[in-house]
Amino acid sequence: MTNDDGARRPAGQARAGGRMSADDDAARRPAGQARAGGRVENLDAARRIADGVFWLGGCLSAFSAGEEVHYHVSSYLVVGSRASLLVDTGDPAHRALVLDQLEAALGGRTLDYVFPTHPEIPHAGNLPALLERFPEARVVGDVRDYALHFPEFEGRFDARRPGDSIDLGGREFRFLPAHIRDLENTVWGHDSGARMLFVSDGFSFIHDVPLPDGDDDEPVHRPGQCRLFSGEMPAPPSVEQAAYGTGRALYWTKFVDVSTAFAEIERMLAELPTELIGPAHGNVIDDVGGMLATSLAAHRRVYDDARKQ
Amino acid sequence: MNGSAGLLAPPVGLAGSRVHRLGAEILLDEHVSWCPEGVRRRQPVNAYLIRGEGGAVLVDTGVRRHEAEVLQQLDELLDPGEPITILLTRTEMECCLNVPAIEARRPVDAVWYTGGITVPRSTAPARRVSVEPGTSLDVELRPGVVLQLVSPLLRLLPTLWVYDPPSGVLLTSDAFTYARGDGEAGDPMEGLVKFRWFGGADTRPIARDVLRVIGSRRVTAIGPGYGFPFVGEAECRREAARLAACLEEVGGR
Ligand SMILES: [Zn+2]
Repeated sequence: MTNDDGARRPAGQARAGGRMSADDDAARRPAGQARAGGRVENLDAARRIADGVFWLGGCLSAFSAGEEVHYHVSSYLVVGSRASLLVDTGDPAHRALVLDQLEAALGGRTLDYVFPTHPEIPHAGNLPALLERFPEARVVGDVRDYALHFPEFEGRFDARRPGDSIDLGGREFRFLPAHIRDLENTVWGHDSGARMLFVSDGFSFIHDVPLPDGDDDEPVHRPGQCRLFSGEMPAPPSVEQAAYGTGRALYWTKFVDVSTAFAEIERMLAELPTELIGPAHGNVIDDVGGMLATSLAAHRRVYDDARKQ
Repeated sequence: MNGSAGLLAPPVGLAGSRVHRLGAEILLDEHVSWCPEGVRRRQPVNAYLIRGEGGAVLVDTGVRRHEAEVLQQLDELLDPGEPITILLTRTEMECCLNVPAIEARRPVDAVWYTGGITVPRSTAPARRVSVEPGTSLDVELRPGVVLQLVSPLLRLLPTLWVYDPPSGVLLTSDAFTYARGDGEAGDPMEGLVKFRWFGGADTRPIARDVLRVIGSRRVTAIGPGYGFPFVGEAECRREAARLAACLEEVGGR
């Protein structure tokens, strides 16, 4: 526990397990656009990852064992011949970056739909900026609560339930139940054009870095490894690494056997051909089968370890 | 302080001049994610101001729909320009989105939060506090204002309950949210909508934790993030027992 951050703790009153840290602007700023060793040349631009699909957003940085590490806060733009849809809004720390990336990726077209997968800051925090920039854009998905959070945009929220779809022109965007989630009002999506599944807070893994300091629960990568596919990383995540992120970020998975959720995911993938998985905070997954196996093993380990305690 | 005339909604005293409940009411219906099926009624969404000798701590900030009400209520309770410390019980939007508006109105010397990547704020320093679930931590948030930050097992995201020893008020974030305020005993099951994972979990330790947190303290009032408060030591103990019983009931073993 650090105690030099101005909040004086009466001596002897901290109980076991408590921890405070001076997290702040320095430790959690938007990460610099590191390029050394990275394969993505221009991180200021969206990365085109398939026909009509762009990977937007940036990284936030933190420190792990004294080393700088990054984690993605990602958005994905899907462009059809008729309409365009943005999955997640990115973090307000990246507002200008996301708007610029979006403008360039759209190439003069407008944004028709914004689909925040759930109402948390890194997923929906840029809604006001997006709705101002694109006055015709509609917000779609599980839109409960948004009128409380963004009352000035009431009237632009359209409920879409799992099973609903939007014809983007030459490709269909389907809304799906979120089998791995934190908030209950989370929705996943699937783009038939690129055969890509968007999984919000699911499937975000640690690659090739030491496990982060205790306070950090975000999946991290090294500077220079930003916006890479899982197959472009030096090594796939170990079960241990995946388990770490899983147990920290999704607290409940320590207590719940996820076998049923994974059976549902398998069924979904059998119905909807999927070659890419886009998590909000991890690398885009291009080895779907391998990653499912790692993830399931990780969830089992988290659950078993919690039961041993 | 200003007079009460023209207030959109007055702050409500919860423990003398020490703890006030701020915010306003929403229509709780199918447009709200924590609404139980078939329910349609008014529900307060709350922030709480704790005032000590050394200054004031605002616990959560209300929903943005109530931004004007919360700003007015703070003006009513505080001197112009009086600084505050903000503590967020969770980094969900109903807790944190009014931080920038409050900062624009008065000095905010720190925003304490539990994680969840970033906190919307303008210039106030963000301070992350992490408490192991099932434990608590005493933190002096302002000189002389020492609050117990309790990390409950009844949670989804990293969550703090906040206990104020001088008043005995326990602020419970997204738990104990079912009181109806119409004299009817609310149904604790109605407060479990956002915790569907309990259905697949052994909830006995979670129920025990609720009983322990309240049984081990002199709790004079329970102030939830939404819904009406419970007041009185006996009532608080009774509600803890009712909630614990529901937790046991929903659990999958
Ligand atoms: Zn990065």
